[in-house]
Amino acid sequence: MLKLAWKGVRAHKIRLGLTAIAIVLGVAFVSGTFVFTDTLDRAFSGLFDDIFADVDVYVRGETDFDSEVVPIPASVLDDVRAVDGIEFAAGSVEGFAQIIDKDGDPISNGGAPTFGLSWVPGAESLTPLNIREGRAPSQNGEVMIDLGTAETSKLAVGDTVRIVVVAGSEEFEIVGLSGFGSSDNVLGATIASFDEATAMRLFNSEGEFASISASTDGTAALSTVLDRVNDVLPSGVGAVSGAAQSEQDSSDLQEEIGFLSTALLVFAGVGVLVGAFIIYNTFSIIIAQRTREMAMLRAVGATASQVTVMIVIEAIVVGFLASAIGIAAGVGITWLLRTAFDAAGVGFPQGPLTIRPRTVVIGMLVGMAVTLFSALIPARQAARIPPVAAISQATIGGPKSLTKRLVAGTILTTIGAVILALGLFGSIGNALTLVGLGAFIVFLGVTVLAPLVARRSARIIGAPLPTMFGVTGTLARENSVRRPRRTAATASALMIGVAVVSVVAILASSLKQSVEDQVTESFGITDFQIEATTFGDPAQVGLSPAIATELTLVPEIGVVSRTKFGIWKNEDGSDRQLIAVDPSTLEDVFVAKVQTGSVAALAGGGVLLQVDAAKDLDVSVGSTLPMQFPLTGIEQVPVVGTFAGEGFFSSYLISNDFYEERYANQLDYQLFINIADGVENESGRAAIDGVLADFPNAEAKNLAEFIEDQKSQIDVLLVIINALLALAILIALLGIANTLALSIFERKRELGLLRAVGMTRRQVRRMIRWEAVITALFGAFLGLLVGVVLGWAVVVALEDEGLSFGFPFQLLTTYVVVAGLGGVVASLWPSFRGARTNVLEAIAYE
Amino acid sequence: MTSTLQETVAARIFNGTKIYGEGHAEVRALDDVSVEFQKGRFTAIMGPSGSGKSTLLHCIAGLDELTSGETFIGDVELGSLKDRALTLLRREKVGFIFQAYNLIPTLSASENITLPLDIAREDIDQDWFDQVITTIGLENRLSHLPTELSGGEQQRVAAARALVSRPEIIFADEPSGNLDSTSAGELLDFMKQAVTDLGQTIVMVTHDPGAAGYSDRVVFLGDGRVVGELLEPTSDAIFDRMRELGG
Ligand SMILES: Nc1ncnc2c1ncn2[C@@H]1O[C@H](COP(=O)(O)OP(=O)(O)O)[C@@H](O)[C@H]1O
Ligand SMILES: [Mg+2]
Repeated sequence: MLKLAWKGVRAHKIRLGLTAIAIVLGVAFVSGTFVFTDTLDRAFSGLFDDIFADVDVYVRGETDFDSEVVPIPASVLDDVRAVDGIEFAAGSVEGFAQIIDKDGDPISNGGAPTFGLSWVPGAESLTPLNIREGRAPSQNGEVMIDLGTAETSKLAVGDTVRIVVVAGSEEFEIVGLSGFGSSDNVLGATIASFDEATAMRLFNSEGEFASISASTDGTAALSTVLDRVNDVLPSGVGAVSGAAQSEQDSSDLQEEIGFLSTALLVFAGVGVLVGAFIIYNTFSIIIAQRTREMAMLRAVGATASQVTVMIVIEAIVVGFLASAIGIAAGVGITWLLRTAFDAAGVGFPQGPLTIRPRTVVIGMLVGMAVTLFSALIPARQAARIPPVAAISQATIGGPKSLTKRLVAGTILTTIGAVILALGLFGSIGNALTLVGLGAFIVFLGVTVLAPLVARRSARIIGAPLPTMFGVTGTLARENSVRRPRRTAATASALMIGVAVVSVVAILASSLKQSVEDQVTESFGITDFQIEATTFGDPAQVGLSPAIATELTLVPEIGVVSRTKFGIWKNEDGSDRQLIAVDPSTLEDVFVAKVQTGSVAALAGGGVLLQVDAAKDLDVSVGSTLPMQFPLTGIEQVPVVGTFAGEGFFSSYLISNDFYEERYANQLDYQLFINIADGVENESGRAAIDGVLADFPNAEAKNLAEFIEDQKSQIDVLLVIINALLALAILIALLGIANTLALSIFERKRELGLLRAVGMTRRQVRRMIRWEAVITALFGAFLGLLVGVVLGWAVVVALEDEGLSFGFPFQLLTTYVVVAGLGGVVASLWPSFRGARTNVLEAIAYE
Repeated sequence: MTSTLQETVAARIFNGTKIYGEGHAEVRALDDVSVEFQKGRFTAIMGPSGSGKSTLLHCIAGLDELTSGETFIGDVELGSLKDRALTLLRREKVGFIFQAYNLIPTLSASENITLPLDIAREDIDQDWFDQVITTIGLENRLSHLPTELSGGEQQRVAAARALVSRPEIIFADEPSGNLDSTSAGELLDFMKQAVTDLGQTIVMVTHDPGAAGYSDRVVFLGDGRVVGELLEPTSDAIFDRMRELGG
């Protein structure tokens, strides 16, 4: 059997090879994700190892908040230096420093951080930063920037650059260029170093350090020195070893990389699922075409289970080879990706790609399991071929009971729908897992049902063909439904891809719709909004508070209302977002829809909650809400009111004054501005732009622009998701090509006959092309149907979050057209082969 | 004289040689063959298996290329034609009946019959269509799919398809090879009628003297050469000649 199976693989290598591509692509995505995130992971832990390499003792403010840096009083430095066993200690000042390039644009490499640091002479051994060119900054007006940024932005020692900091923006002379360890740049981050006094002034940290690094003199054990240091530290400040801090920092990042990894694996999973359909289909077709061979085996004494085993071994061989190639391809893709990042100026850490055993094992398992599982049904079909089939013309898999199919399909679809509904509307288990599982079962159910409607659907889709192309069109249409089960299975692969992109499209369009509705409703009374153009974590990037201060002084401007963004922790330790507002001006720019209490009451310190959030937390006006803040820890915050709607996309509002005492980050998040009465919009805008000229990372938008901007952010997300889903669609199209090629092979005689009686090659190609288009459109329509229903369900489930159903008609139409064109592309090779059919070979009679 | 001769010739092969394979594996399927097929006649090509009958037919019909020599349909030399021109020529001037697999399974009998015209997107001459259908005796079978027809009926549909575009010449390779004698008789009767009553030209390959007996002329092939000819043959005469040749 082993020998036979091997021969089977070799005899059908082209057909199985096509199948294998589906597995290769899926496995490549899976293993590529692992290699990519593992490499990132290792690079980051390496990075932190570098940063803390020579730091024995690390002193920092203690906080539960990842995004917050709690400052340390500068006097602590002297106390640390005085500790017995400490050789040298230096304080570091850190802050936001956005470098502006020669064209006046902020330098930002895809959202990488923009660090501002203090440079302490003599502390070189405590930091990975080193001077590569020029000298260190020693006085106000001098800066050292990292070599990587200097090179990509064509800045050099002696140039003057503008740098945006919390307090505003200033010009500096570049006096030096720094390296980071041996590399010129860290992951695209920009680093600007100043002398300590300048840094303290720029980063609003007079008399404060972000951290203190120290080395020991080796006279006492590190743990002893740590204990001594901790003894002299004030409360809220703690010391750990450099190694411990390094581990802590990298494990924080690992968690985020873990998220990325999971997200990518979901997309890989969709691709693998689609691949499974194709493998199933190919094996079924190949077995149908080998009916005689199987029957012959049975006739000469092979048992049914031996036939099954033979097919299973074939599947294992294919799965093994394809998985191995897939893993290699995954590594290759990651390498390409890294090269692309490098070319784009994002310094992806050098060094070898990380290929962990887990990557290979999981890649292999996924590839082989999917292949094997998908080949199981066809293998059992093969076993059912009776020996007599060897001499009769009958093919297996004749029409089975339609009722059975209808019942099975309906049951599956219903079960799937129920699980889906539980995930969406229920409160048991993990909602996302349930939705995923439900969707998967619905896909299976629809796939089982699809053959029942395949014939009729294809006839409807192909209805115009006979009039358009005469008998060529008729033949294309009829061929597409000749094997409804095969057509349905092929189309189902595409259905999954199209359904998922449709759901995403509907969610995006609904999201855009609700953003527009909510923004118009809540901020309809605002003239302009200002936001940082720097991309990144809103808890860390933002607007210099100086902007608001300066804007207030402009006569053309009536109201400037500031907001800040923060993370607080709920009693259960979960992170929640809050927005800090200016109680006295908020209602000039924002329709608060206050239900109880008032916005004004925020001024006394307290929290205003969205009604649903208040209900969830079981608080109301008069009661208190336990909230944990970075600087002050847990506080019982009085609830001063509730509001309806989702206007701020945050359910918790506090006042700016309240915020400032509780968060280290003092950047503004957004500014809302109303022009003074009697001032034209244009002159108001000109006045705002006049102020913003000094703050290159801030931009003013009117309401329409603001909405457009929000929408385009959703569009960017849509594009990224679609790019990731493209793989699933690609695999599905591959499936169409594969099925078509196999069917053409079956119909060789027929094609030969058509050629003999006068069908031109071009007509043959057209016939095959339209067959592919019909199959693709059938899949696309099925996908659209499932996708729209699913999308609608998700939107309904999220209605409480303020989502309203938006139907992206244009986008969905585009998807159908693209699917049709995909069918054309998929038909290229099969139609080329079909048109080359050798007439003589085809009509030869055995 | 030459021109009148040309007018009456539907197809011809001149010094045709066809070689398959190379070196030791070389097979001379046709060896310097020259034959003409007159218009309005029913010619049979006979010979033992492997004598080159099918090869001859394929080359004249433009389905295969000669290694050397020339073939003509009407006065068009086929060797100089590219695939597209050859296809169009087949579509307009040539009809085919094969031994098996003559019909497209997804099309009904009548759709199969009009297939060449439909492919060419030409109008159907309804009178001619009716006449062909009546002669063939398939009036009640037109809407049936090929799987619903007997082998004999299928071959008659194939014959009707070959006729319906009024080609200059029809080539048939063992058209009755898969049929029982009754069905074969019906088919051959119809083919003869097509020549005598409808004025068609048919060239038929067969190894069955009975089938060849329906023809006006028999050309005998042996080892890729023309080895004899009989005019207005009877089955017995053919049988005798075959024995002589097989000798
Ligand atoms: N495609 C081919 N390749 C090689 N040899 C062939 C091929 N087709 C036919 N032949 C050889 O050419 C000779 C004539 O074949 P054919 O014309 O089919 O004979 P017939 O139809 O009279 O039985 C035979 O020896 C056959 O083996
Ligand atoms: Mg033959």
